Amino acid sequence: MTQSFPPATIGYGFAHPHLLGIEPLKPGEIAYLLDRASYFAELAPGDAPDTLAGSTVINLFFENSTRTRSSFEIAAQRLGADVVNMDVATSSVKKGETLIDTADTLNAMRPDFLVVRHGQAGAVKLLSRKLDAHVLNGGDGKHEHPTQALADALTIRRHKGKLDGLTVAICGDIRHSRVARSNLLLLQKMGARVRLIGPPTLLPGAYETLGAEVYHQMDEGLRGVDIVMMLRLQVERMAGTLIPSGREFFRFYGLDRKRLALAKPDALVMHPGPMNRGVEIASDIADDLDQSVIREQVEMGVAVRMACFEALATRRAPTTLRAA
Amino acid sequence: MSKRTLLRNVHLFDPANGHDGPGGVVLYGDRIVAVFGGDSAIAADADVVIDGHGATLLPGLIDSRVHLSEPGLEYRETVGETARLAARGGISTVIAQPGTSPAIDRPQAVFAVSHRSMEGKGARVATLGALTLGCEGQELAELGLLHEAGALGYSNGTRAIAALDTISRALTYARATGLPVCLGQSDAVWGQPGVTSGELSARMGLGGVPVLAEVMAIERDLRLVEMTGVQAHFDMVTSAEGVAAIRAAKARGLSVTAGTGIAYATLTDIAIGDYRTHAKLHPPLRPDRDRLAVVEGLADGTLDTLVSDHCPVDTDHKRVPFEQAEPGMIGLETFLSLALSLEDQGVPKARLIDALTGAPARVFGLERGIRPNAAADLVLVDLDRPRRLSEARLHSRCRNFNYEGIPARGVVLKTYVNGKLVFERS
Repeated sequence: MTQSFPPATIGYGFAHPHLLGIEPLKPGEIAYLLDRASYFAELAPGDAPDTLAGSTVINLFFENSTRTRSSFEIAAQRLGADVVNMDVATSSVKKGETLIDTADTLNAMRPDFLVVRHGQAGAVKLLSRKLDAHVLNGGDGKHEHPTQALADALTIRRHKGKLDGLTVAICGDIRHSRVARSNLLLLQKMGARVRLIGPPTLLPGAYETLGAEVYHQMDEGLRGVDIVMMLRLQVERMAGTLIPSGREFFRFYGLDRKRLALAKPDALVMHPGPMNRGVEIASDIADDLDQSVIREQVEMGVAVRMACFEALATRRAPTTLRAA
Repeated sequence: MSKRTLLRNVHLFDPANGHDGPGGVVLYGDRIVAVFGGDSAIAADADVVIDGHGATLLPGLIDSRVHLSEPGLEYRETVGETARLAARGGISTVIAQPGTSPAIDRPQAVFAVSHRSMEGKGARVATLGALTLGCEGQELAELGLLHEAGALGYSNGTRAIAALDTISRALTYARATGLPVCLGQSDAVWGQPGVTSGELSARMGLGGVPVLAEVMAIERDLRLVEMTGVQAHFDMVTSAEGVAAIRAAKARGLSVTAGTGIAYATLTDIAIGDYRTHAKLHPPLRPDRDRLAVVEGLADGTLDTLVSDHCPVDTDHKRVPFEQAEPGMIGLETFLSLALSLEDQGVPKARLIDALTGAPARVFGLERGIRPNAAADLVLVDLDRPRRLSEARLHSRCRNFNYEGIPARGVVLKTYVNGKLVFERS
């Protein structure tokens, strides 16, 4: 099967050995991943190139995940890879093995790709230093979740045709959200304006130093935005400590019709899932096919993960000057 | 159909609005519609004309720290009774603490109190919302919903929040509501509550609470206010070092307000002598040097507000050994007279009236003042008429009173709330 790079990719490249976060990526590299993902999104599942044929992908998830793990799994399989899911709950990790020892053990099995989700920031980076395989970050603590941000960006680009110049509101539990951090970084790199909205306990003022506009009143923050990105609130973990209750959160930071009307009329509603209906988002909005692109985000998740696998497998240096 | 009421021949006293002289006001509905000096307007079109006989007309007093007994201890005092006692004392607005049983930690409780207060004639009863559920210092109460229900601010009752992560989160969250939070509460877990440790407590064999408990609470909370940017009101500053800490914070530009209770400006720990449980208060009464500092703080405005800290406790919970007695004293009916006594100790009259009206209004976002279109919350007082404070003349069901036989002055003649006469001296 031929590797088919559309002509648009000339001048782009992706030279990183790992995908650990959005932070190290340049705008051109992000655009390259989005272009490739957009190409994969249009392909029928059976038509994808078998770029990863003969490669082994290990999904190593230290935290529970349904959608991210299966999305990586499907993406790798569509490109022809063999996928192994490590069930961490019954593995040696639970028997007290350190992360480094786990890395050594896995390395001995010579995987080509390792997809890792871990509850602590920096754990994925640590593994990447110890392993010969390409490491993809499937979410590390409160740090980054790069493939989710890429999926969100692709979804936005498909509807708005661009990212630069858009105003995006990210609402809810910013403090604990790796999705919010990755999205903030990606959107800013691509020229979008990002507003962060949440109660002060879930949105530290320090985020202003990251270049975002911080709002504690949702109505103000939503005015005139192109995209409303809601985040999951871990209400069961937080009620009483960082917020008083789910009902109070919905009253002041939940997305309902009235609030959504403050955004642009053609604003998109996004949510990385899983949703708490009636806590951060009203059911009728989540299900509104005209504005909600929540299901499409999941679909694009597979496409961007295919693009990430392919980029790491083919690692092309930027060719801008040479091509010219 | 509302009537126009003319109150004439009174001495208007509201320096904040430029009044200190003879004049009168016209009330219509729940508003003041006209204010005039002298006796020029004998407003012919008034339906009711009331002659004040030269008594002083003040803006209705705001008592911003009152402990309700309802819900939980209705046998001591119902909300309706609190409202009526306040009206007798010239108080048109009571701001209740949330530490009832159950606490005012849900929006429904705010509605319930305001509904109960409207059942009879009396002062308006507003409430603060609990900062934490049950005032237990663990889980955040629904601060935003409490605000929407009408809470004027937040407090954790008489209980301090010890855990730094809990208090800092609560203040960080509260900041977004824009409402003030009452801070500086010293917890009752250091030493033996009810008396300040020192010479008196040693002599009496009572352990006592170090005055440092209050100073450290104030200093800690000032840091947290600086960090979180919350609007804070240190409503019970009762010690010399506490006043100094507030004064220093204001001097370095921190936007905080403070206040004290009438007991801490008028009584010392000598009142506890002979194990008088009525003088067992929280925070405890202090030596005279602290009282003098409190009075000075009121005089120079370091302490913005003055409150009664009214807290009814029945005999069964006071006529017990000192250590077992519940803290608290009543104070609504004698509040104004005791406050006026501070004029003799160097607190200017204008400052005193401000501490009872304008200052609490500014802290809790209420309107107050004798000016056209303001709410008709007014009190007519004979400021100079002498009276002897006596338990026998009180209307309160609870008798935990500390000023028996004390000569004072100032007699409340009429109290208006929203243009309605809610108390009239017969």
